Amino acid sequence: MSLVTLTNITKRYDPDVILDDISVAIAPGDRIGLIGRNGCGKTTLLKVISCILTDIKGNVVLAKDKRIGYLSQEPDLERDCTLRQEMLKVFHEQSALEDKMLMLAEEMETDETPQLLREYSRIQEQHDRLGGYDYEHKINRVLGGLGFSEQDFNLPVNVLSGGQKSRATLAKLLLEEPDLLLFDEPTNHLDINGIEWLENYLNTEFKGGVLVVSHDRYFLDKVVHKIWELESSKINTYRGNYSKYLETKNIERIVDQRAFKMQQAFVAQEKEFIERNIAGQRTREAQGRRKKLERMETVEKPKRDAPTVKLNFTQETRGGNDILRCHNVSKQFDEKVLFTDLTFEVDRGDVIGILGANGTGKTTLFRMILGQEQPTKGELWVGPTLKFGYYTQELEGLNQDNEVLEEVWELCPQKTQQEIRSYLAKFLFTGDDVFKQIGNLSGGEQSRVQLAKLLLENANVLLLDEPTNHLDIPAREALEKALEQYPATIFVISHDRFLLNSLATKMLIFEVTKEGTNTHFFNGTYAEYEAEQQRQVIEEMQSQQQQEVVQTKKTQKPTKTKSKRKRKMKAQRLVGSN
Amino acid sequence: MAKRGKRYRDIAEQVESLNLYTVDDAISLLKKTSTAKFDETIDLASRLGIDARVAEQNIRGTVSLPHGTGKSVRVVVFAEGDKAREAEEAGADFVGTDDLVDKIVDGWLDFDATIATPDLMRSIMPKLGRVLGPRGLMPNPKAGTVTNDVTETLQNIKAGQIEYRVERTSGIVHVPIGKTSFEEPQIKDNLNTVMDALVKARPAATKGRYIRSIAISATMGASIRIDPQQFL
Repeated sequence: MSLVTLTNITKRYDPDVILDDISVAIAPGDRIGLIGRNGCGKTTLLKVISCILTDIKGNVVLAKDKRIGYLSQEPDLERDCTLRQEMLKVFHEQSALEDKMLMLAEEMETDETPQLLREYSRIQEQHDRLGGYDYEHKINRVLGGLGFSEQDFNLPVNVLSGGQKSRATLAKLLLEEPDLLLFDEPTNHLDINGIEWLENYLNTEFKGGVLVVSHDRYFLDKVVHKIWELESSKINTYRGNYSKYLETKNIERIVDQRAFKMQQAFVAQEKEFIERNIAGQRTREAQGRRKKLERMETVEKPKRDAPTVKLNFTQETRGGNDILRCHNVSKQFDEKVLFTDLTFEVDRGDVIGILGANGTGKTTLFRMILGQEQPTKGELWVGPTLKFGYYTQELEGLNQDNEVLEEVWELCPQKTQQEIRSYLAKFLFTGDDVFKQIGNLSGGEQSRVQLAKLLLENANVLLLDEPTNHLDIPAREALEKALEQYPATIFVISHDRFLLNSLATKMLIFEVTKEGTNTHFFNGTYAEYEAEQQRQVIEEMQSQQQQEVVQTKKTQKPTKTKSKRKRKMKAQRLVGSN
Repeated sequence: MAKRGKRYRDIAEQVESLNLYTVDDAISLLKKTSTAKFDETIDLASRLGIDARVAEQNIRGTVSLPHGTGKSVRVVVFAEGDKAREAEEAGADFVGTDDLVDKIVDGWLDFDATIATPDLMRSIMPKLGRVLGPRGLMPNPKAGTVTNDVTETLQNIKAGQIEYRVERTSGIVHVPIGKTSFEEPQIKDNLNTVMDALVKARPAATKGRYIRSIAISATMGASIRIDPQQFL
């Protein structure tokens, strides 16, 4: 029996049809990857399934007593609660029963009637049936798995970083243990350890169905065994993981092209015959062939790859050669120490790749460079003639009520509407797309608007905080290409290893250790940094092995002498007895 | 699958895994195949034809084994005043109130059962629920461990009273019914007592066959299936 069945679903945002007569079903245990270009309707489909969007044609049927959990791209948490309190909300039924038990226990202090005991027993049993007090353990395990330390548990949600908030939302959803999980870009805010933990959790522990929207190829490969491709408002289903989908798709494309070419050749040949013979001796045959051609089903021309974003960063002024001097900089919020003794220098043209777990202070460093935060200790000098372009992770700079055209036009009111519209076309906002409200755009589309605004700023230093989040694969490639050609300085925070590999010339690493965050600056590319890390690991292993050999030698010696001594004593005893 | 040792493989060869034995045959086979170097516990597992997720069909209770479990049970009693003295006289291993609560919160868990007087549940529940609850050690009125009759409950537990409860997901009950050092009639008595208790606890709403399967096994032995028809 299917968990959810969608029948003839049609959804339109006038004048566009987003979903066109879609009929699909999700069975328990299904692992489905939903892919498609930014703005093609992936999130809309998730919202339709989770019944958030009800303004649709068609039917959504959810199996009886089944629950759906939906992880949106934006975190949904209460700002004043602590992280633990927020997680405890999932277990509100247990909490309410505990309160009741406590009330009854208070009554039992003075009055111990059998009715009270029976009531207490009934509630305790109900509490046990919901999982009892196991939830504390569950909370610790899920939060720990997603990279939160025990100190973080009592932090208010509003001091958590963007990535941490998203992880907290994910943790809350996993704790709810719904029958069907709907994920919208779950890996965007997870570091590599978090992604691996989630993959493992979904593969080994979670028994329900999963429908996941993701542009993370590795994640899709490991988790899903079916792909839904949303293209031209229709869903095409492919068996297998993402790699298998690419293979099948490629073969499909070749077969379609061949079929199209063959048909075209056949049609040309037939037309030529008809033209030649329509008025001659073989006129009847020509007429017959013409009829056959008219009745023939035509193979559609295979579609070319859809257009992608065209980016080109330019700078107004060249700026000075010295960009940033950071000397023994430390930053802490109240008692939480983000990083200490950060020292590095950045010159014009450098591309600094910043890598590290969520909440280690990467975004705070950006704010310090922009002057929005001050270092707690140390000196941070920023070059005088710099013009910064800042791409925020949470897309804060966008006014949700504005239309796309308005939002971008505000930055350069001197330009004509035509100029702005042709500029926006480079970001795939064509026709009436430019009149869409920012709030109604998908995560990927909002990212494109922010990129469009960033490019207009003509900055000579770019601060990019997770720029590839929400972008589809072709848009990521276009961004990489544009940044490669950009002659000025770039700071980029990213967990996207491909982006770091192709861009970064220097690396700033925020590493979480038992003592706190350890920062170090590496003068080389990401590949060189990885090689260096591997070399260190091998060296450590070798020295450990050497130590073990020395230790085993040390420990083996006395046992040898002991056995020797034993043999000697045994021999003496034997001699004595004889 | 984990690799089995030679000893276990020998035992498994002697047991026909698909055969349904009579109680007597099963017990004598279990005794014969019990070759571990310590006194093994005999466990009984029975799958019941109930939906344990439904509140009315959730089976839980206590039963006193006529020959005990063969284990010395360490019991903690939360009581004060006269009740505390009564518990001490009845042979409780640890008696106390807030001091014991704090000790348990600090990680001390060297006991097998707890009893509490109803008036003290107010001070126990908030602190110990999270510690004892997941381990199944929390005092519970249905299991008879929230009571003013401390002496009787304590004696019952010491004499071999065990608590049975059905697993929520599988509908299986697991209970210990003695040691391999017990005589065969003693094991049989204990087994029959547990099965009688389970049959008596049959919820009215169940449909179809109630006792689906029964198996007994020693700690390090193979599982021996018993024909459930004998208890219907």
